[in-house]
Amino acid sequence: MIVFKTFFKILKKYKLVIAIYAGIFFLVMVLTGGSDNGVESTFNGESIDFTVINRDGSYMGDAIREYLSQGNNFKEKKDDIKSLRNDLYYRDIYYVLIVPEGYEKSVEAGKPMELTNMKVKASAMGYYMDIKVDRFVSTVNNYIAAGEDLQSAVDDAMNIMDNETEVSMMTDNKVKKNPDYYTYYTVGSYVLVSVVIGCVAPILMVFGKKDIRKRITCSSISYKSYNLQLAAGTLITCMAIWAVFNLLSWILYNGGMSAVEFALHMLNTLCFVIVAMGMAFITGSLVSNKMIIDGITNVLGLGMAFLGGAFVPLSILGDGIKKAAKFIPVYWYITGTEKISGVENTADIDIHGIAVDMGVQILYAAAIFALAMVMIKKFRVKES
Amino acid sequence: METVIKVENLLKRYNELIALDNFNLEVKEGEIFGLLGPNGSGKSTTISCILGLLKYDKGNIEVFGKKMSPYEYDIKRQIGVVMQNVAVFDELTVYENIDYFCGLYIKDRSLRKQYVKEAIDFVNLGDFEKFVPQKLSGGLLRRLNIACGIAHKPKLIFMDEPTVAVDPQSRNNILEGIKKLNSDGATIVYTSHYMEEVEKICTRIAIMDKGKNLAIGTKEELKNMINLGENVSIEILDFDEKYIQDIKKLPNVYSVEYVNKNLHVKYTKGQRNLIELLDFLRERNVEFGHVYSELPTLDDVFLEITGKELRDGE
Ligand SMILES: Nc1ncnc2c1ncn2[C@@H]1O[C@H](COP(=O)(O)OP(=O)(O)OP(=O)(O)O)[C@@H](O)[C@H]1O
Ligand SMILES: [Mg+2]
Repeated sequence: MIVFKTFFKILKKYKLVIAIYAGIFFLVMVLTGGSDNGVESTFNGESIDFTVINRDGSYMGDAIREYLSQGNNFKEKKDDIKSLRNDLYYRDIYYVLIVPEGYEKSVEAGKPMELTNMKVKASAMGYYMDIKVDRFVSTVNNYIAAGEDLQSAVDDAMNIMDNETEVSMMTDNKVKKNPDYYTYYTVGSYVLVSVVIGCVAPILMVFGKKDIRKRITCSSISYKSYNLQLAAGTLITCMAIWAVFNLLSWILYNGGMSAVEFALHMLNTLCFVIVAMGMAFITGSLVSNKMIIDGITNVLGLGMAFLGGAFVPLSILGDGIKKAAKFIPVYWYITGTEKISGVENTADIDIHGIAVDMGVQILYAAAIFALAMVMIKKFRVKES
Repeated sequence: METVIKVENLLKRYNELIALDNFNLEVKEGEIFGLLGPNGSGKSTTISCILGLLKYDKGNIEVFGKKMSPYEYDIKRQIGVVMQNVAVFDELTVYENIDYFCGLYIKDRSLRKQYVKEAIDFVNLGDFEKFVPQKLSGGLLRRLNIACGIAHKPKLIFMDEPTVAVDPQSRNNILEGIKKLNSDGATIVYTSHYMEEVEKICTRIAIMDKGKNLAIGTKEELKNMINLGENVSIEILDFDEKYIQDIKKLPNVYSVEYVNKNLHVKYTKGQRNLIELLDFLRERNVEFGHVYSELPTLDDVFLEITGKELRDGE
C-alpha cells in the first residue's frame, strides 16, 4: 500500500491548489450572480426591470421602449450615467438601453447606428434583452428596405414581433425553470475540471518521472499492484472531489431540489468527473513539467468551460459555437444539467435525453483513456 | 564462490549504435566488482540490461542462477539499485523518500521503520530527516539517493557512478560505506570512470570500451596482463642528453625522457631493471638525487588496452 499512501502524501502538498480553485469558484459564482436569487429568475417568466434613455426623442426610440415593455417592466430614469450605474449595481434595474441622437434618421436611411447599453454584468437577462432589441431593429430595417415608411415599418414590426415573442418565450421555457443552483452546477464544471486535473495530473507526473519510474521498475513491487495502487489513489481523489462538490450543493441548496433531481445531478457530475479524470490521466502521464501541467489545467478548465457553455447559457450562444461545442465534453454535461435542473417528479424526467448526455460523456472518457494508453506506450518505448 | 551474475554474449543496439557488443561478465558472491570505462562505453546500459529495464537483442543474463526477466520479482527483491541520476521525490522529505523506496520491497511496517533508520544512519543524514531534497547540497542528495537504493538490505547492489559531482569528503564517505555494505555481505557492482576509486575498493575490475569487455581481473592481474614494468624517475641536476640514446639500448627500456631535471624511464616487464640503470649512471659518474620506482597504475593499463586516456579532459 506504500504507493497508495504516498499518493496522498503528495496530494497533501497540493492543498493550496484546491483552495485556490475553490476560491475562484465562489468568485465566479458571485460575479455571474449565481448566488443571487433574483437574477436567473427573470427567465421564470417574471419581468425584467429596465429603462430606455431616448436621447433621440424619436418615435423609433419610443417604439423600442414599448416593444421591450411587453412582459417586462419599464422604469423611468434620468439620463445620468453615474446614477444609472448605481441603479444597475443595486439591481433596481437590470438593463439600460441608450438611443443616441440621430438614431431614427439612421434607421430611415437603412443604416441603423449602434445602440449602446448597460447591463448587470454577465447576467443572462442582459443578453436576452440584447437579442430582443436586435431582432426588433432588424425587423424594422427589413420593412424599410422593403419600401415602407418608418411609422408603418415600426407598426408592422410590432405586430409580427408580438406573435414571435410568444413563441420565443415558449422555447425559452426550458431555461425558464432554471433555479439558482443551475449556475452552481454549470460554473462548477470549470471547478471540477480544474481541481481534478490540478490535483491528479501533477501526482501522476511525479510518479511517472523517468528516473523514479526506473527505480520503481527495478523494485520487487509487481506492475499490477503498482498500477492498481496508483489507479486507486486517482479514483479516490476524484470521488472525494465529486462527493464534496455535491455535498456542498446539498448544503447550499437544501430543500430547493427534489431528491430525484439531486440524484440525477450527482450522476451527471459523476460522469463529468470521470471525463476530467481521463484528462488528468493523459496530462499527468505525458507531460513531465509542472508549469506545463498548470498551463494545460487552465486552458482545459477555462477554455472548455467557455466553449461548452458553463459561463454563458447555451441558449444564447451562436449556432456556430453551439455546433463546435458538441465536440467538448463540457457541452454534454451542461445540456444534461439543463435537462435535470428543475425536475420535480419522475414523470418530468427526460430519461432518454439525459441518458444520451451522460452516455456521450462516458464515451469521451473512454476515448481519452484509450488515447492515453496508446500515447503512453509510444512515448515510453521511445524513451528507453 | 557462487556466481551471482552471469552475462553471456550480450548484444544491445540503440537503432544504429551498438551499445554492447558480445559482452560477457561474471560476478561472484562477495565481490566489489568494478565496471571501468569512459563516458558512453556502455556501463549504464549493461546495468539496465541486467536489471531488466532494457530489452536486449541477443545474449543471456542470469542473476542468482536464474534467467533474469522483468517479472522475476523474487530476484528483484534481493537487488538494490543506485542509479546514475538522483531519483527521489521532491515533494517528500528525506525520511519519507527512503521509507517509500524501502516500502516497495518491505511490507512489514516495524521492520521497515528499523531499516529506514539504519539507512539514514548509514549515510549520515540523521540531521536532515525532515528536509526536502531541494534543501540538500549535492553531496547530501547523492547520499539520499544511495540510502533509497539500499535501505531494504539487498544482497546484490548496483551502483552507477554514485560519486559523480560529489565533494571529496562525501566521496570518501560513500566509498567507505560501500566497503561496509560489502563486509556486511552484499555483492556490489560498481561503475565509474574514476580510476582511483575503482583501484581503492574493487576486488575485481572489468575494463570496457565501446560496448566491449576488454579485460577482466584483479588490479594485479590486469597490471600483469599488460607488458608494462615499473616507471622509474631519477633526480639529476646536470644530465648530458647524449646518454638518452644509450639508456634506450638497455634491456626492457620502453621510453626515456628528461624533463624538469628528472630522468623518466619506463620499462616493460623484466628483472634488475633499476639496478642496471643505476650502474649505468655510476659508471659514467653522473650524480643523482632521489630515485622513485612505481608500478604501473590502472591508468597505464587502460591507456595500454584502449589506446586512450580514461577521462576525457576531467
Ligand atoms: N536511450 C538511448 N538511445 C540511444 N542511444 C543511447 C541511449 N542510451 C545510451 N545510448 C548510447 O549508448 C552508449 C552507451 O551509453 P551508456 O549510458 O551505457 O554509457 P556509460 O558507460 O554509462 O556512460 P556514462 O559514463 O556517460 O554514464 C552511448 O554511446 C550512448 O550515447
Ligand atoms: Mg552511465
